[in-house]
Amino acid sequence: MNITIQTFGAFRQFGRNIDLELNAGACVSDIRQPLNAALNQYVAKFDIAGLIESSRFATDVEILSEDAILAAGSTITILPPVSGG
Amino acid sequence: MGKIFVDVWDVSQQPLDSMAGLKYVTEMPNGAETLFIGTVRNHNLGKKVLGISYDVFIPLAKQNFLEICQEAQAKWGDDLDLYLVHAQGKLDIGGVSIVIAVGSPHRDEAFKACRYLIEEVKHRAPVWKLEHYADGDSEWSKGCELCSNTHAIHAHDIADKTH
Repeated sequence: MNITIQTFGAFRQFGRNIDLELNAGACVSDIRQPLNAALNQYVAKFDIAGLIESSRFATDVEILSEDAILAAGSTITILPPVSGG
Repeated sequence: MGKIFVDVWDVSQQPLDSMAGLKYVTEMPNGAETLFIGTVRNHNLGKKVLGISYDVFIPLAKQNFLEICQEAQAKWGDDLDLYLVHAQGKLDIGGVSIVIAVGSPHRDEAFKACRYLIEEVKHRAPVWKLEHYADGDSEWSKGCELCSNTHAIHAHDIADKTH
């Protein structure tokens, strides 16, 4: 199934959205490996795998638990460590 | 019941207004108003900073601000009046990045709630800052890692005084 990752912060340099192909029934924790593979081609000032590992994933209204099941075609937002205020 | 106003403003269209925040929380039952204004400073970690661009996941941020305000009311009284607006976009040195205002019948609750709001925003709100340096470089702040239950790992801050 296809899901779209909406980017913020340091992930913006890879585009506003990143499309991933995941197995049906995949959960939030299953996003990291294919996302890392998709971004492997890029050069960044930061450790891409490390930042993916320290990021969380969210909908428009809540941060998702790692075992939340993803729906096909959904858009999920990646939240790297935050620095507001 | 106190009132709550939260928002994210695109500063290229509408600069933040601290007086609007203060006015919002100044009500007849209140004997104390506190105001926190976050501004862009000209240095960070030994580097000369020219400005900061704020990236905000707006729907979740507004939801998060509302939850934080409701938590403050639960802790210090549901009669608190609360105002919280965060900037989105690029600010120069001295630009206002956040305005928090609290109105309360008493000063203790006003101070405590104001402090709570800014600390929780820093630790939990989906906001990211890109610092622009005098040498032409730009870098995203390291920030605070979020937990999936929305509460942050505060220990991160001890090592990273970038806020």
